[in-house]
Formats: sequence, structure tokens, C-alpha cells
Amino acid sequence: MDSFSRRNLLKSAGLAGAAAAIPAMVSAAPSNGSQAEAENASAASGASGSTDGLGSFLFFFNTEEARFVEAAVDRLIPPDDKWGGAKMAGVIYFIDRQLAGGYGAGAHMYLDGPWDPNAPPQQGYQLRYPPKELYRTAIGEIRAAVRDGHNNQEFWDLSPDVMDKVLTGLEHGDIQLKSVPSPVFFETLLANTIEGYFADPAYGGNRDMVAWRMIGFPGAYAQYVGLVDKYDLPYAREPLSLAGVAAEAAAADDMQHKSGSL
Amino acid sequence: MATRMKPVDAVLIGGGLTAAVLGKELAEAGHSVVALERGPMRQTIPDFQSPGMHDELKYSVRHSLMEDVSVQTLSFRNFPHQKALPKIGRASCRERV
Repeated sequence: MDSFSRRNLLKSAGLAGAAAAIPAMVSAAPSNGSQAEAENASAASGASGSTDGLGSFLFFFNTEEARFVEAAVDRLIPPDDKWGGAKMAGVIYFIDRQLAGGYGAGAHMYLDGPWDPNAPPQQGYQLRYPPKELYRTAIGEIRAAVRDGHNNQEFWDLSPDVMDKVLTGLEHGDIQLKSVPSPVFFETLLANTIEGYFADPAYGGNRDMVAWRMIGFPGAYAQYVGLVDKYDLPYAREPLSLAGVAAEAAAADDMQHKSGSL
Repeated sequence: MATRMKPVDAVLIGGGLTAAVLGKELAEAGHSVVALERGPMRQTIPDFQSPGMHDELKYSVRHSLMEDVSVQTLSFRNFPHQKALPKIGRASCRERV
């Protein structure tokens, strides 16, 4: 079983007890000893507070595409000693959901051409691919280019330094892909990574509101009236997500039903 | 088919901030005014109510209050020698157009 689906299994197990029990089994199980696998196992064991097992299913990416994207986004926003990176924040699930939905299909894009390959960047995105096709096409071609240049290794098996070289090569167009200008894909991936890391957790990334805690962003609070005349106090409220607001509203609704006032 | 509406003294194309000031001044001066907006009807409640209005990805990044270019786009060029190309829409928030 590869590490990606094992991780999904761990997360979808959901119960804290199960999540706590399984990592011991993972480390005892025969393993190919890869770095990625070790990281995934530790991510799963540390995930009990950050995910309840919902939203860890892939709707668009296949397993290999997901391994590529997860490895790449964790180089774009790597973890440090205090804060998790894009992998821990679940950015892969954000991007996966975006691509599986209207954004991925180009629902709000003008896709009737003409497709001018020589358009300057100032005229914006001019490729015929809606985002999901951009990803699928580019990932396939990047993986092939990496295997050609690195002894048949996959991107996610490379060391972080070499991964960074590949990503820089894509960013600057030094790695030529057959169907897609590599800088366009790089920019899209970077933008979606930033979106997934910082957007509301309701979208599937920013797990445990890690990005908001890191930068001190309060989230979806609407009312500050009660705070206006409070001076020289640290702002120590927990961040609030759209999903948190919905959960509070549902709980209040439930209370009303129970008390029979509705 | 075109709908013929009651004639007015002034028609404001777009009902944004400037039009709001103009409309107020014109109306106070005794003129009849109509402001035209395109797109679906939007009301403060529920379209701009909390917490949904705090969704930065939806509004700031994906521009869901803006004209949907899959319905109607525009083409543009930066210099006379360039070929005008359509605005395809934002594939990402880092796109410059």
C-alpha cells in the first residue's frame, strides 16, 4: 500500500483512538523506508487535532498526481520549527477540490480562443486549458522530464534541494514542456498553494487555521463594536472560520429545537 | 425585444460610488434619475451578509461579484502594434490582468 492511500485511510478512520493507535502499526509494518513515507506517517499521527477525517478524499487527482502536488507545495510553503507547511495544512485537498469543481472546469473563463502562443504576459492567461487540464497535462510532462533527468526517479523521491532546482527550472522556463509553458503552470501552482494555505479552512486547506494563527489573522469576525473602546490590550481571540460560524449557528439552532422555542 | 421604459431626465450607467453622489445631487435638483446596473439582483441581505461576505477567496481572488467573462468578455491590447486578445479570466490570483 502506498503512503498516500495509507494516509487517507488513517485520516478517514476519524476516531482519535484509531488515529492514535495506527501510527505504531505503521512504523512496525514493512516499509521501503522512504522519507515521504516517514513524513506521511508522522503527519497522520499528528493530525488528530487538525482534521476529523472529513475532506481527506481526493476527487480529482490520482495518487501519483497527488504525490507530485503534495511534495511540490510543501517546497513552496515548507514547514519550520513552529508552523506546519503546505502539506500539513492540507493544501493538496484544497487544490484537489478546486480542480474537481467549477474553477477546475473553467466555469468562469472565456474559453473560445483565439489561442495566441506568442501573447505577452501582460495580456494574461491565454492557454486553451482550463485549470484541471493545465494541471493534468503539466504534471504528466513534468514527471516525465524529471524521470529523464534523474535516473528514472519521481519528483517526490528527490531531495528537497533537487526538488527546489526543478521548481526553479519550471518558474524560469528552463524546463521545456511539450504542451504547456512551464512558468504558467508554476505560477498557477504557486497561486493555488498560497490560496489553499491562507483561504478559509472551509475550502479544505489551512487546517487547524494554521496560516491564520501564524500571521495573527482573526478570520470571519463581523463585529468589533465591543472592542472599540478597549485600548492597549493584546488581541487574543481564536481565529474564526466560515465553517466555525456555520457550526455555531447549527448548534444554536439545535438548542432552539430542544427548548421548543422554534 | 427591447423594453421601452418611462423617459427620465438622467440615466446613470452603472450605480457605483460616483453614480450614487451624482444621483443624489440630480434628484435634489429636481431631476428624475435612473441608474442602470447589470447582472443579477443583489440585496444587502442575504447577498452581503456575514459571515459569507468575509470569503476572500470567493470575492477578492475569484472576483465573483465581477462580470463573468464566460458570459461576456472584453478584448484588449496595451500598444497599437499588439493584437487585442480576450480576457480569459483568472487562472490564479497572481495573474497580472
